[in-house]
Amino acid sequence: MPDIRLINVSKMFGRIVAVDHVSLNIHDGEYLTLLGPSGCGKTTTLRIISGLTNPDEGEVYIGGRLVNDVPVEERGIGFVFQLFAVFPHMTVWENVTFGPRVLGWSMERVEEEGLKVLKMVRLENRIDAYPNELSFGELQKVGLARAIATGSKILLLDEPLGALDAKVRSELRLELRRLVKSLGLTSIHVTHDQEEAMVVSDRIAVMRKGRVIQVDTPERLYDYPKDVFLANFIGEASFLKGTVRNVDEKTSVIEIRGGATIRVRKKLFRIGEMVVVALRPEYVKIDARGNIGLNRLHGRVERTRFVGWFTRVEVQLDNGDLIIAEEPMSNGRDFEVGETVTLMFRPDDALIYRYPEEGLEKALSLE
Amino acid sequence: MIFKVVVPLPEVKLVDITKNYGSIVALDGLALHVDDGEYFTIVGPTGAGKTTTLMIVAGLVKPDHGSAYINGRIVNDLLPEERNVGFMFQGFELFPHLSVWDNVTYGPFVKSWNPEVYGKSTREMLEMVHLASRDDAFPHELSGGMQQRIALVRALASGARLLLLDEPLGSLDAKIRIELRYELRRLIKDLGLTAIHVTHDMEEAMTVSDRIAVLRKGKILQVGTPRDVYSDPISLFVANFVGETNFLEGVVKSRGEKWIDIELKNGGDIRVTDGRRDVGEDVVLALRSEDVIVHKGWVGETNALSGYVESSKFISGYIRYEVRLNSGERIALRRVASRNHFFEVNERVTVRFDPEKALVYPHPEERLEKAISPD
Repeated sequence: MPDIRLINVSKMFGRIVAVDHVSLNIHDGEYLTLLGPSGCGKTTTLRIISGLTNPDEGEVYIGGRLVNDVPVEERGIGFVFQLFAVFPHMTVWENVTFGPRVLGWSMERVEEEGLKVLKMVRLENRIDAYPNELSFGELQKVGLARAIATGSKILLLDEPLGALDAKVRSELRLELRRLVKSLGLTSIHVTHDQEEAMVVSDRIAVMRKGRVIQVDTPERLYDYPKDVFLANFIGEASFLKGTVRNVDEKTSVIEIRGGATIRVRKKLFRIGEMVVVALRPEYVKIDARGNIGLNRLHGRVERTRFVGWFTRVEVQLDNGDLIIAEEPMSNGRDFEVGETVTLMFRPDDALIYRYPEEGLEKALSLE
Repeated sequence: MIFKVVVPLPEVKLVDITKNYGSIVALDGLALHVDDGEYFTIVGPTGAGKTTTLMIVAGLVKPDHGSAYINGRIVNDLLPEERNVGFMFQGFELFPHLSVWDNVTYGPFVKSWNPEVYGKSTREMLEMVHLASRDDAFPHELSGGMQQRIALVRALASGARLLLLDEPLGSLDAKIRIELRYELRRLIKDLGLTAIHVTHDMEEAMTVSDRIAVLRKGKILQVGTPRDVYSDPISLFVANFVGETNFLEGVVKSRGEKWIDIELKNGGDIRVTDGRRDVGEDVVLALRSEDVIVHKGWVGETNALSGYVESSKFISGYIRYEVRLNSGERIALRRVASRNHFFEVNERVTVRFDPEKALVYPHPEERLEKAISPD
């Protein structure tokens, strides 16, 4: 069964450390995404799994077998750079059976396997069509079918939707996950796009500077990021600096700049310690009614932007800090610039971190 | 400090513009009016004619027919350098071997202008964008945000007050792109420019613009504020393009003064607010994913459709559910998550919506998928 394991894998290019002691377990049938800013080492990691790049150190296992010395074509992998990069002068059938034909399979076997794969992606009625006659959704299926036509159970995808328009991309990523899951493939997808990663993946491995810094489900990654970089990189967050003033059984009390206090869920901090509180825009409510036990901060609306199904509201707190809130359109409320508002959030929804030694700005940097 | 604009801001008008490339019609009788000081975005799928429109304003492409006006003056016969426009392209295209200062003054420098003429205003602009202290730095030493600001100042250093932006954020990582959208609008508004921005990304368009024009196949389908276009899309194509929308086909069974009753193609009766459709007419309902209400089990209310949860996916603070209706259609909807889970996969649910929230369109002559396709 094709589970994939990386143990302490490293790769240098000259003096640049591209991949720095990465260990990773990808389960059989799992859809995992390597997510990170440009230059974080995600594509190099993918190439090491495929065999296109040899690691300097560490071990790669596929289905329990050490493959460090196994050449690319013997690893049982379908590699897709861009799903839509199909041969334009070939029909669907010719595209999908290209790999088996190059490998010199018998005609019967090519026919049998080709048809099987095309049925799996429901393209058996389009076998004579040329790529220019197909929709993007159908092209994606051709790309996928071609990648697995030689029997691969592992699919590696390097920014497969990168070159597409935003709207097409957002439709195809939903379809891509559906297809990959229905085919039961083990899949590793590389992208810099957080939302794409969340839509397609079972789990996401976030990479930064050659290292894997957190591997988790999209939801855990969003709700429990391990450090301030992750809190900023996954989704959006507003950051408040503060000092721990009190710690009890369930909560810690943080005094933020300017003297206001907020309660957050308990973490192991000492009284007097400098911390950073991160707030998700969706979890900050403006002038919500009634809710007892919520944190409240006062400020005035600095800027608003209508962004479709929600309005993004930037609120300047009395202490000068800026908090971003997203209000669903369905609340039916408009906000005026200059209006005074109360921001509310649950103690459970505030993320709290030790103040980073290198300073907040540096800790959040995407470069 | 506030940057003082001494000349009136440019307005731009395109009248009945047509442009063909061989047998391909790029622009088909296009008309546009961008007000002075407005941030205007042209949005549409690849091949819609967005960049061609921008090039015609810039003078880099000549229209086959029609006229371009800048500030009330016809510019068809003016060279690009006589039109006084600034340009920002994908990836900012800074010169890597030139310092910030040499990058931003490159235009005036190659035009052999006197540094005393452009030096002061350029320095003021660098101060405005908080980069005056970095004028010796090279592009690779600067963050994406700083590079964007340099590209902006460079586009304006020759005195342009009309800025044309062609997918300026296109080549950036998703996270930086989203951050820079807000900053880009802020900068352009602070500098008091007229801007025309081209993108295929509706969210980007809504974030940066005062008004948006949706372009498809060389024609403008709709012009309006982000809210207008989002809340009241003029056609099925626009309804699909500007957000995540569910479509249901049906026929009008009866009508009251302000509402109609629709029988859905695959079963189910629906009432929606509408004053235009006739009894017997084939229609398509468009329903935004955020306007769909969902309950556990069966709730027999108005506009209730029964089904089961087919998938559940957490996406940045929201959960997106897909519900498979008994009638076979799939409905997508969203809920703010905030560490709550509401429904399990395979759970029976009722999907509902407010009669006022559904948009109704006449059924297109072509297939529905074709009418809404962003291809």
